[in-house]
Amino acid sequence: MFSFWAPLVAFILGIQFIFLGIGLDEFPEIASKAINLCLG
Amino acid sequence: MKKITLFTRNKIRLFVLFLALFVINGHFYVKHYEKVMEVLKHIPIPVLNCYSSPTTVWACPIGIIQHFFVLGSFSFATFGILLIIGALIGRWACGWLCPFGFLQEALYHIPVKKFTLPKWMPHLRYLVLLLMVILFPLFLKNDIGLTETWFCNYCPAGCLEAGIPVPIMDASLRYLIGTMYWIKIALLIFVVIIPSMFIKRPFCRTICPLGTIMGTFNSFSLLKLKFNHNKCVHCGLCATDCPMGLDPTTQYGSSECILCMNCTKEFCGAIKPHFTNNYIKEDKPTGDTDES
Repeated sequence: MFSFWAPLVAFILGIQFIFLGIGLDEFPEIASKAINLCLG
Repeated sequence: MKKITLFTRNKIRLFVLFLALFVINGHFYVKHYEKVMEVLKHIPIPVLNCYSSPTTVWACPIGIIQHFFVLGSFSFATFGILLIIGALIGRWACGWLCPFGFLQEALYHIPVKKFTLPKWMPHLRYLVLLLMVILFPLFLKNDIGLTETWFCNYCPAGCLEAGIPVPIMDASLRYLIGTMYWIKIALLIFVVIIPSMFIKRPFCRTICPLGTIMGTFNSFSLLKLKFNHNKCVHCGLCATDCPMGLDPTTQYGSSECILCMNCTKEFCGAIKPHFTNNYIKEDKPTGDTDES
């Protein structure tokens, strides 16, 4: 039963999270993150 | 010495890994299409490929997760993308797309004496995820009172893909090279490069936080493997060909499985891939019910 519902729940939750991310304007922040972290 | 067949057994995977290497690191040809670049940079993909790399065109989800934690926030979009991909294909991308996993597998083909990883070591990856990706970026402050992206600071993939090429390409950044840089180079060599020649995918199995996150989806993802006891001839070939050092006859649904499908290519046909959300009941050996 868990195996039957879990992918569906994860999929729906994933879509909701993406829309929430769009609503919170996360994607420009993601794209702006390509700064150099690798020297230091 | 026994011939290593991680790639030769599954040539389609080798081709896809090569293709993914160039698609993920497509800056050189995508740079002419700035609008495409603008879109791709917004999308985290489930492979460990540093977004500070001069060649990459996508975002690294582990870097993004930490970045949002450092900001005291949470990246819903990144988790949403990982949830959807995980629900569909579990950890498939680790075996078929990840350039860093590809590098480790390629190094394993160097003909030197091989070793197996102690059984407790794969559990370390949960500790790395919890500390370096979640708790330290949230709470551990540096000298000036700010939290940092701790895993990125020491990430061997970032060191190889960005830390080494960036100062080579841009001389003005070389003054930034400090002690941490050399620590990262040492980690890359002694934790990934050298161990990969002797042990199958040591970084993926003991450290990779992205693989740990995606591995949790293996138990319920739509793409899964089914094992038929009655077809198994106990030859052990599938265990030899497994790039994660698993025994697919007992560990085919494990969170460590990267769904590379090497074990499905064996002559016996005991393990088959399925894409379904129905629970797959294992075919028990005839007259034997105590097998797990």
